[in-house]
Amino acid sequence: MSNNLKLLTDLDTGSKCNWCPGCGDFGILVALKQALFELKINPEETMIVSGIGCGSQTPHLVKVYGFHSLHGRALPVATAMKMANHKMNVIIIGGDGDGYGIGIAHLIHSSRRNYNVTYIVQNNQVYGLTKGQTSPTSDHGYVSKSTPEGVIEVPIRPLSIALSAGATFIARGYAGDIMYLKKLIMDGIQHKGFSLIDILQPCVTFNKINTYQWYQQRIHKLDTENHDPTDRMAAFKLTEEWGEKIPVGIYYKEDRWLYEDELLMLKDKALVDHSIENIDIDPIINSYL
Amino acid sequence: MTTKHNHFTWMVGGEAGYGITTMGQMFSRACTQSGLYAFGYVEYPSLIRGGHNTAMVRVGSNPVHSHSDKVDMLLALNKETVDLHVHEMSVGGVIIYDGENVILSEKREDVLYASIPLGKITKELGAQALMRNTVALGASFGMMKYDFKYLEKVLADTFGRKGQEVVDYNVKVARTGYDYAIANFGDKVKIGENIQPIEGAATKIVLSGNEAIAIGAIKAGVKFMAAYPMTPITTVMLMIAKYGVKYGIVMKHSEDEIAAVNMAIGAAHMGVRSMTATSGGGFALMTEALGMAGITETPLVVIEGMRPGPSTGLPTWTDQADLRFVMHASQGEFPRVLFAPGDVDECYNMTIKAFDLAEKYQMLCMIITDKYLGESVMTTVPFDHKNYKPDRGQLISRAEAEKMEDGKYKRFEFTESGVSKRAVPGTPNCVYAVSTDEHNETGDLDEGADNRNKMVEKRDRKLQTLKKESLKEIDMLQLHGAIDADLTIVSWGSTKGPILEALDLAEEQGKKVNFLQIKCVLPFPTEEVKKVLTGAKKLLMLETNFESQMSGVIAQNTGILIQDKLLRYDGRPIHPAQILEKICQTI
Repeated sequence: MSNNLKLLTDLDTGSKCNWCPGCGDFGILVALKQALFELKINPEETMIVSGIGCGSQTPHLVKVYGFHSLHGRALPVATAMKMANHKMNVIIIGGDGDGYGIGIAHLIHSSRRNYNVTYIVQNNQVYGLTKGQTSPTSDHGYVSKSTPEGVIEVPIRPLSIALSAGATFIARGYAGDIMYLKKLIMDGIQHKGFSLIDILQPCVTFNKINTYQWYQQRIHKLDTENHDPTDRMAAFKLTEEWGEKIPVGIYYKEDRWLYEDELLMLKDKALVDHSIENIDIDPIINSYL
Repeated sequence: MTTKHNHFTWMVGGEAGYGITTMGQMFSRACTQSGLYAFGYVEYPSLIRGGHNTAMVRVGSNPVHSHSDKVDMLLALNKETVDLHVHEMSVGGVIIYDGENVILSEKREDVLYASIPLGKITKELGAQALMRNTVALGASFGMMKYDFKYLEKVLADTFGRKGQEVVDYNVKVARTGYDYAIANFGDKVKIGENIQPIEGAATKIVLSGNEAIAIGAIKAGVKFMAAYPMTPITTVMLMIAKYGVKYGIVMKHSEDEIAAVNMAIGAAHMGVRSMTATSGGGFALMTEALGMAGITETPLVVIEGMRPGPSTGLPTWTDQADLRFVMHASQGEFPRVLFAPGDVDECYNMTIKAFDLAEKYQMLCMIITDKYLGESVMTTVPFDHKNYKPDRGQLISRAEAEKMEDGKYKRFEFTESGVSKRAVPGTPNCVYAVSTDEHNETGDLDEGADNRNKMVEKRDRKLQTLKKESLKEIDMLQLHGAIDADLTIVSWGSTKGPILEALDLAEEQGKKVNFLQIKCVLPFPTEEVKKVLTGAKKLLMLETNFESQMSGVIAQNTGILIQDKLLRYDGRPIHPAQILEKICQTI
């Protein structure tokens, strides 16, 4: 298959972006485009599916096939796309409210199925598009418009959930370190299986706590440390690290059978390549005779 | 029940979990394969074990369209069955029961109580307790003095997978029951004597509405289905799953109905024919995504099998109270098709049509059924399908796309018909993004007032084009019976069968009644319905819901409010005798 990508700008759509100046989404967008460019993906064979949220505008900003779906429902839409045409690269992108709040059930079930897709979460610990309410990842005590006395519950540990549910690639990135993030996204896309990349991302407008500075003081890169990403228990321990120190990098990586490889219907060709002309239903009718 | 058609109603009853439904299927198959027509109806509580189950099979030499309120032969596997159904027995009917286990204190004078030691025979044959059913089936056919070979074939079909030994054993057990019934009651039983095999009759099959929908979907080329089990549509997903490998169809049992419909949309957007099926509760969870199919113009087929609500309601019973819900589900306005089949042939044909319309007009196409239609079996001729050619509408082929200039394609181009050319992801030179937000012709976000008007109108135009191009009158409505009638019954969906039966009964009493069946609810055939209604002498609306939802729909569209109504909302299907009674009160 020919590759139409010659310049990084070939991935530009020219669509107007509606993010606030300084938004962490920009860093993620740039890292994603660079990753796609360096991987020499074919835009015609790539699909980005998003949910609803600030960052979910992404499909309109990268010149590949895109589907801007419903709040929380990007995963079922995208994973079925993978089943319908498993030759396509399928990337899902959405926020923390989208993926860890309303859509959390789909994260759990998609993780255990291990489709060969990459799920990027723009995690800014706040609801931006609806102007500043608490999110499932907001820390205990976080004061927002919907929690004026502060959050009472503990935050979701998305990486721990995905790990226990059976995701086979789990990583955390930071929107303020584009080069490092690009590498993580490339690793995620190249991984055969369900990869979750949770990206810490400042919301400059509504989250005055978890700022660039806040993250910069806390994150540390796993590559420079002695972490074995195939060690499941070590990965679990890392997912509990939150507060003074926050690890970024690949937490966990496992080789496991793909959902689409186990579907006997996909053995010969993709579902979209099946002819639907002259389907013979006589064998079914005969079973009634 | 005496009619000119010489029908006979058999019913088996017993505790849930003991193969009652299977017995009903075997009875209806044996009759269908011997040339008769059958209609099988099951009643069961929302339990797996315990509780009372029945399977009724009405058979005859002419088409049988519904169940009946009368039973000619009752096979009572426990005392409860006799207690609950003895009042339904027709005069001269037979109750088969095991007198050694079931002690009856009161007996009707006009019914024959035929005690057959089912338990003892089973034990003497050294068979498992459940084989009692096979003895009883044999005894039923013995009572009818029906040629044993038809039951023998059904036993062979049913148990063939388990080997010849199992088949032979079942045949032997059934034969023992058959012989016992003939030896002890052969000369005493008169009912059912006229019901005999029709040698050389045309080949027929007996199947449920759900099975017909699944077969229709397979024929239409469905490649992806996602669903979550829910009575009464579960058998649709099970059948697709069963044939998945053979026909190259992925049937995904998803985590919930929200995932199911979103998956179905994802797969459809990618270019495969895709569907989901559910009942009211699941459909409630799907409503948001229906609008996604609407605004992204994704072809989608959704089956909604009604059961009585609200909420969990009567999970294993039937009614037609989701009509308004299905018609209007999801926020905003967008076009959709809604078909309401009334029998298995319509289930099959409308499913195929729904897939074609969904792709041709890039639209949500729905089929509304209910438990009575979905789970009842009826006899029909094997589906004719040799000439079917899928209509995929304006799908851009790869070859066509390769000649296109990159960047010029507009996914939602404004056209006269409202339909834009469709490139599925993976097509060269056509890269685009769609959104559930309002968008412009290219798919990019656009909240402009002018664009919004044009988009709303474009989407609506598709439905107008569809109605003009692709719906014939027969797809939308049908007038059954004489043109010149004193009473016109108006109804839709699964009530078709009981109404057709009632028309025959009315005719026998010299009453001229016809029946307007509304088959397509959306787009509503306003002018066509109006024509029939204004020409009718008297009108009677018939539905199985409390609010008479369809009469509201008719009034809204035609300005004609049908005053006289026959409504049933106790979860039980309406039966022909009830309709006849109402006819006699009306004219």
